[in-house]
Amino acid sequence: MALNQEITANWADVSRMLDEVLLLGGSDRAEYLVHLNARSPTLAVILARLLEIEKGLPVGFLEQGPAVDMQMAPLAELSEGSEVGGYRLLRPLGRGGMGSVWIAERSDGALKRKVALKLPRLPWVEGLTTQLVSERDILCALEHPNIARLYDAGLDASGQPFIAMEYIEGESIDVFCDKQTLTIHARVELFLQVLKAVQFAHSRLVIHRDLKPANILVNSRGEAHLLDFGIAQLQSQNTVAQSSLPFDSASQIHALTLRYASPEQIRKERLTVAADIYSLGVTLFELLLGETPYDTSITDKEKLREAVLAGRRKLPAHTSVTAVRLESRKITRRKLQKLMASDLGAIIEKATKSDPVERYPSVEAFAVDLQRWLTIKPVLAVRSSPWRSISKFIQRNPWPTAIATCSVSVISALAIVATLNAERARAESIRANTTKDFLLSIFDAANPALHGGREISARELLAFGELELSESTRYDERLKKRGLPFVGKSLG
Amino acid sequence: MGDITELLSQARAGDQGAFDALFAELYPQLHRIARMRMASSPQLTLLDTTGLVNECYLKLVATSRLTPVDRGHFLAYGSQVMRSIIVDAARARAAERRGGGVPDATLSSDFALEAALPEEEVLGIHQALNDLAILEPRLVEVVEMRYFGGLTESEIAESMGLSERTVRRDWEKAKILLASVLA
Repeated sequence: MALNQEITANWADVSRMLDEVLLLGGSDRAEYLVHLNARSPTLAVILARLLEIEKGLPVGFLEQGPAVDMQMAPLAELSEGSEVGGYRLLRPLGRGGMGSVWIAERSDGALKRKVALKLPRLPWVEGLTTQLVSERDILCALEHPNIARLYDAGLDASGQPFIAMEYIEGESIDVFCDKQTLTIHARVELFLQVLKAVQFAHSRLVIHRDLKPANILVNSRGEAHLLDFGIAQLQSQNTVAQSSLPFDSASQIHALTLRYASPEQIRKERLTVAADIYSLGVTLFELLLGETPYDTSITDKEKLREAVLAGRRKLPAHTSVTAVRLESRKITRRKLQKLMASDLGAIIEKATKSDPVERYPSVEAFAVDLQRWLTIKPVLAVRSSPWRSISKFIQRNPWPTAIATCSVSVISALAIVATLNAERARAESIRANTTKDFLLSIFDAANPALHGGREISARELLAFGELELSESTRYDERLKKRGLPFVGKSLG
Repeated sequence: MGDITELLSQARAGDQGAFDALFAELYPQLHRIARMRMASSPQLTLLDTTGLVNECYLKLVATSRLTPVDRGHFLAYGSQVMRSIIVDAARARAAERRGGGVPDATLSSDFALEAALPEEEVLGIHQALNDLAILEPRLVEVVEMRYFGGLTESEIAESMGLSERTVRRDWEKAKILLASVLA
């Protein structure tokens, strides 16, 4: 794009003539051009063209501001010692296209603690500040030993959004497991810490929405910490600690994150706890087998999205594991394959079902199953026939797990706080627990070890269920009302 | 006398070092103000430049870094710096698009980033102004102050020592030339 050659060559004349002709009205302009044409046809052509352009100028041309996203402007002024939102930047942990993360401390010196200060670069939307504040308050209240605390978030005086979080020194869980050459058992035990933390957040009506190894840091004492609860992603793989910001291009980060995203998340549907359960399932898959269930060769975002939606996942039992990975898990290929072909593989499969309804109904149920696997009890995931009939019962009677729905969220800013009426959700979660207790009591009843090794029949099982449901005071009326006819009908 | 005032007068005397120092001082200041504007803007991508440079001027005067008599000169310099900031932002945006596509909001956001940001227009205007600077620097100054700096015609007239009518005519002229380039 450049100015027309003829204009630049004749600029002195063109400039003077424009000054003159712009003062004239429509008919006078035409006359002016006629006279000019007689003197200099070349100039007349140029001027006619410019007047044509002037007539066609869109209303308000250049009267509105430049269409540029200012959040994209390089932030030259951010450096050690800069102050943002009442924090002084100490040193950068990471920088990337989406923003930067710094180690920082309060600039008023009131508290000496170090924080991880995230400075996302994002386009701003109206009303965000209000939303930020209300969600910040909920997220700040999320206090759990395995969740990195959110201290503060907002906009500083210059309009820079900031998020101050507990600074965790550690490595992402996958790196930690491999470095420590943790066995499959030890990995599952460590993973249970993660589930406990997520379960806690779900009980507070907060879903994570971006669970993946890079968001789970383990410190030198072997304690897992979840980052970015309720805060949409800023993290990426492979980098240590809270420095895990995208250093690569934007498409790569998202390709990485997509590997942990549930199908409903990709379809941009409203999310429930089931989305977190799925991401946790993929994370467990990776911790145990060394890679995510999707073909590692897919790097294209679109193709990956298709694979997730189509459920083109490898089954745990069909995933080949490299010798190096077997070594870092201190297990033979045959043993690992055997584990994956039985209960442990079934647990992963259940957590990563494409249909949210087929997944574990809650993180707690997921944890209970892993717990049962660790203590060599039968797991729910493989109890296919009674499970199937009961899951049908669940489908017919709304299973109260989809507690946390999420409101509008914000790219890499605060987000995702459940908006459901808290009281109703609490009541439902209590019912979820008793329903689960009921189911577990049936499965315990089915344990051959409790019946002198005799396999118990489905009929006996249902009879037990009926007894348990009508006799026990643990279950509320609603559950009894829905459950009893079902059990009775099945008994014939 | 404020430090900005001093830099301004040295820069006017042709001191390149003072000009650079002034630029380094004003860039972050204006950048912050522009970001604040963006934050409160109803539109996601359109920067409201109205009074932007003037706001910066008032802040500097309020903190005694600038004496009120320098207003005219400051507005011209400030608009020049603002042009740099906006062009830098447009370049960063264009580079990001070439590099990795538009950041994908799929996973974490319910509002889309999909809307096209016509940063190409800003870069086109910048380029055309570079051409125009050789032919008629005054038009470039008017565009800088009006489009990038968000100043009013009377502020521009005052700053440049011209009549408002001349400023308005220059603005009309400049718009036609820029449109001829962008078309």
